[in-house]
Amino acid sequence: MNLCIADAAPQRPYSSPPYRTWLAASGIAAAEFYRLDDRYVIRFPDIADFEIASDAQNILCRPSGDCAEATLRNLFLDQVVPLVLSHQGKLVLHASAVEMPSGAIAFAGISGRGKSTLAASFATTGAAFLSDDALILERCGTDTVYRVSPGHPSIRLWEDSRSALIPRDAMKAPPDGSSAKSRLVVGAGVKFCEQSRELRKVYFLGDGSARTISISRASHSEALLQWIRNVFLLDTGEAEALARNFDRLWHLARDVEAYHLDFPRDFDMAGTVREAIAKHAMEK
Amino acid sequence: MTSHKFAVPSNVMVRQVGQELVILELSSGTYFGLDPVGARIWQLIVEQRSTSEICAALEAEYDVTADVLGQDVTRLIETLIDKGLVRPLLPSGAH
Repeated sequence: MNLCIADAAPQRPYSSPPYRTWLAASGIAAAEFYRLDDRYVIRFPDIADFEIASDAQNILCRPSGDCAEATLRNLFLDQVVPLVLSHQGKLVLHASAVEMPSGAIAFAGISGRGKSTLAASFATTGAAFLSDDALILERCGTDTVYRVSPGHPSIRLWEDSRSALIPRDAMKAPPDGSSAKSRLVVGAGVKFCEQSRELRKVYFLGDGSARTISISRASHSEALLQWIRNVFLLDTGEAEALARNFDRLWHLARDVEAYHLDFPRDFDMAGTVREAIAKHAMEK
Repeated sequence: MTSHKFAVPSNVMVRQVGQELVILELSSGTYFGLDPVGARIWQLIVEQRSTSEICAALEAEYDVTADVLGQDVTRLIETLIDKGLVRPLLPSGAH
């Protein structure tokens, strides 16, 4: 996948409305998706347009103004790449993953549920992480085995998680303006797994309302609906891609053990939560 | 609606998950889940049973009064029609 950054130019309206819009918590459009004749455009208002060629290999970034290159590259990495990979036919899910002795385990859920915090919690206490936000899965032939490919070797954290969990000597990338999160890079005190690992168990994160650590088995239908909510898909209006995706998620939900996981979001409990998850991950 | 039979449009995809069903409507990209009883009704719809035949079949299988069953089946079928997941077939002979 190639990224080319063009000269800055003001964002002009397209002739047709976006086929999809991502809204920020404030209700303002964080990203708009346009389908043009020969390409897709993901527009981050007042920041940049990313034009994805029909081959899903070449991406042209058009900054809307004076925007730091680091901001553009991080937007590309965090938001554009997972969607483009999904358009190339890869199964990409909104989840983090860490390496356990038994294989990889993943934490899935909507933004704010604690995927990155859990990944960081493990990665700074001895277990290596495989992905922070975009879980890239590969099904091994027609088998029921799925492997997690290593993602980008960084974890994005909100300040409260970073200050509570991360050792002082861990390397932090400079702020880039694309997000209020800070980016923790692999290095001192943060372990990353560079090899693909078999996915053994998946945990769908609850909203933190549990009073104690709670892990319960998710049914096939619950897992399927969770995956449907947490899949990256560039073109949700393309029937063929939707159908293919539905089939793949149905297999994934059937083949990989899935659990509901919830716990009080209290950083003082981080060690206890890790121990409970690690113990559960080892159970047959 | 009692004498109607129904068809599933070609843009609808269905997968069995345990005793339940998850349905995808491809034109809108919307998903719909059916519990085991809903899944049984769906099966009867696919077999092109009429609403009254569906109610009769379920009455024999579940401990429920005909009135309640009729209301539940009608409500579900109306929802499925609204979501574009089934469409009524014209009675044979109708033009």
